[in-house]
Amino acid sequence: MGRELRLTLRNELAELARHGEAVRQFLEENGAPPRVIYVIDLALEEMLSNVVKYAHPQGGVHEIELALQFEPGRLIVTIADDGAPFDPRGFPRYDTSTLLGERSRGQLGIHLVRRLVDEMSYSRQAGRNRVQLAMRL
Amino acid sequence: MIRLETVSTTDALTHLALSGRLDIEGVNAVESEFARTINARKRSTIIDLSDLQFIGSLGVGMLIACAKGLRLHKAVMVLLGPQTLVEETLRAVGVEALILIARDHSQALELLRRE
Repeated sequence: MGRELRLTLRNELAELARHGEAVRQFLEENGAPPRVIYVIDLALEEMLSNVVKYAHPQGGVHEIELALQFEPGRLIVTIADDGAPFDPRGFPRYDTSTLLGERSRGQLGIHLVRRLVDEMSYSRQAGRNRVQLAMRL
Repeated sequence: MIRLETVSTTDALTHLALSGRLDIEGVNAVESEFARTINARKRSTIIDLSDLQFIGSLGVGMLIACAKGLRLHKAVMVLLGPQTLVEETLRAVGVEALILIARDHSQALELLRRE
């Protein structure tokens, strides 16, 4: 039973469902608390689906690298892709007070990730986006 | 996997239940039927979420869209018994500005009476 999980996904929505169970099982087997499992499950659904939908406007088959690693007191999740530059930290803030007005569903996903994860960082190097999420254990 | 069930319907109320995972696959599987059922009846609607293990942003959006439609017909949506983490997700978006959340059926009916 290892403390690190690395996966490579194709940029297809079906891949998210296929690998989601493996991620949840890895987290459970390594004793992650239920809230951490839920938040990472949600964060990966939102972040990975955004990469699939928006990272490659020209289409094509691309790979997304996913890594989950337990460190003392923290779980680190890294998502790397070769798509268009996208820093989720710079995405417009979702204003919950405008729930009754026109609202882009797309904004909800990033908003939820920002609200629920403990840490989020972003970098771009050699044409690759790298988002790192962290949850305290 | 997601399951949508019609629990009961009366002249005044629609009572549905969503169980399982309301993730991308789940929304794709039930959104049409969910919206069709609610929009056709235009009645205040209780959605039992007590067996819903997960909701993502698409699922939240699905609930919001139908709740907005109900408001146009002076009807409301009540979410019944969401699990702790599902409720945390819903409140992180601020759905309570549009959708009522009740612990149990009695509270749901009380909230509907006040509307």
